[in-house]
Amino acid sequence: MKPPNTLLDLQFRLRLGLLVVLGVAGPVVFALMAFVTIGEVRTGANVNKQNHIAFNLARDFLNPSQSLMQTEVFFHRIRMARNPADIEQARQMLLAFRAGLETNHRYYQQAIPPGHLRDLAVDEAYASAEEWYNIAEREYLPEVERGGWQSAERIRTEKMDALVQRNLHTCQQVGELAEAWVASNQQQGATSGRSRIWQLVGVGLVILFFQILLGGMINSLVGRSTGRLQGTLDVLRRKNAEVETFVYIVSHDLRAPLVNLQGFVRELEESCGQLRMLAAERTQVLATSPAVRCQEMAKILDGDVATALRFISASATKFDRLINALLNLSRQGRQTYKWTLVDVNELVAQTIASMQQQFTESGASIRVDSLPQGFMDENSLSQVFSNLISNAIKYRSPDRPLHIEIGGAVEGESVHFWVRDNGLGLPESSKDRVFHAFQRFHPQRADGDGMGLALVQRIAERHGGRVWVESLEEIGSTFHFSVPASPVTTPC
Amino acid sequence: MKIAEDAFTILIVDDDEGHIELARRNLRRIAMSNPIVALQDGQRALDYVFRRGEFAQRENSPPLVLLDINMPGSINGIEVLRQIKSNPATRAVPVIMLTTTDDPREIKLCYELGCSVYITKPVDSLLFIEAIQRLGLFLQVIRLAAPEVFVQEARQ
Repeated sequence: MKPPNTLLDLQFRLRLGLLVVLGVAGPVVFALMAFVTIGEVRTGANVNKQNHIAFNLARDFLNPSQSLMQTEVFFHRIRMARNPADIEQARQMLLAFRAGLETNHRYYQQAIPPGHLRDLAVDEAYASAEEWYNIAEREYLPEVERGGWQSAERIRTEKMDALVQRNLHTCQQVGELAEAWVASNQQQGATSGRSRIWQLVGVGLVILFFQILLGGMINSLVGRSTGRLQGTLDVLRRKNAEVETFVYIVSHDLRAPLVNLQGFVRELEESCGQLRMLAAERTQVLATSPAVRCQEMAKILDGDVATALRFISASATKFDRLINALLNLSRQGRQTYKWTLVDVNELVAQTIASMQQQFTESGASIRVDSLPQGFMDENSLSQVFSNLISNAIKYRSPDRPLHIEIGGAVEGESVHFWVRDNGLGLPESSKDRVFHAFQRFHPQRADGDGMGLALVQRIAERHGGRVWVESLEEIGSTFHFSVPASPVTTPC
Repeated sequence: MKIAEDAFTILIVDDDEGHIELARRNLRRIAMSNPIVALQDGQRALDYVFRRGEFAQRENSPPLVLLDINMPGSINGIEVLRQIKSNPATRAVPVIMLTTTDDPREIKLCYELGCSVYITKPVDSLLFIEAIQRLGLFLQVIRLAAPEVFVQEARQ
């Protein structure tokens, strides 16, 4: 019987491989998603920042009334000026406006990424504004301070207004571009940032759940096959122990006749020595007549020599029997079984019929109940009943007539038979040894090689079943034999 | 070699007739002419040692026991040894294990239970002779020392 090669099973390998691949794929996917999400979150933050800039741009540049107002306020101050102190105030205001412009300029210089928008907002718009402030400071104001109102007015209309117009135009453009930028950002950032993180957490939990599930499946898959392997290992270990016990028992049962053989051969040598001495013509020790010497020799031959030969011969016969019994037992293990649906009632009836003589001699009675059918090997089952019945007859009690009962029942997936007798019974301590080879408990009652029950056990094992005995000394014994109703897939 | 007038009996307990005969011949060879009783199962051996059953009327002297281990029936040699050595009345009885088994665990167990010596068959004659002689002497000694005590205890 080859134990099922579970771990190397192709099916098992495929399933395990699939589970492992899924198990690895999960975290990899999650890692990739996390990577992407982090990227997006950063982009999102970036987008937010740029949104902010865009908003500022829109605010600053789409509001021409503010800058226009500034210029008007300036010119109004100049017109209303009555003394140099007022003009000085107007100059200070101009400088303040300019400082504000400078701050904005610097901000947008580093905030806006390079591109068309930047060129417009940072460079062009500020260029025109800067130029306006330059003219205002260096040309217009000095003229006003000198009192040249007409030339100051001329500077204003010829140079400064045009600049304002140009600046307005640029600002308009910037504002429009900024608006467009805001719009596109809004589209982009719709699902970026925080919502993305929640998505990731959700996916992460799902993947974690599946990992646990997969881990459980792998565990149970490996566990089951390990369990089966462990089961096979246990069976092998048990069988190995049985073989070891068997070898031990056999080797010692074989040693007993061997001791006799060796011992009595030596005795024979001794006797031969004595005979040789008696037969030697020149004997100094025994000054006796030939007739007496012959008598002595005859005594030795009929006595010690005859005994020795008897024991030697008996030992050889015993050896022969033991080896035959062993071969028989081994043959049981190697026979091919023919699994058929056996009519056990018919089989038992035939067995009893073939033992008719033993029944008559022993005066035994037997009763057979209705027995269930089973899928078994007919020949070996017949041997089981034959051995059990024969044992019952052999080891019957001298105090009462032997009565045998044979019964059977279906129990779940097994069929169970028993042979009950009212014979000698077995002592409690011997019950587990009784199925071992060569075990005999009442050798004085009958002949036997002690193999009958070992054979029955072997047959039960090959069917995937078991045997056991219930017994009380001086009351009787019941031998049980239980096998699966249908043959096991890996008979051994 | 009869050591004293009332020589002890040698009790051989073995289920194999051939082995019994070989033991007899070995004893004869070393000129031990003590009476020999051969029994083939453990239960009868115990009956003999404890003077009960069929041997209730036997002469009251402790035997020297040559004990085999593997015997059929419920009582094997180890059990016989255990019962002899656990009873104070019979504890002093010398027991020589004479058996085919050479399993170290069995040997250890027998010594622990109190056997005098463990001899494996086939027998090494020198060892056998020595054991018999030594234990025979031992038996004579304890009998001479306190015969009354032994007799009284055995009767209990």
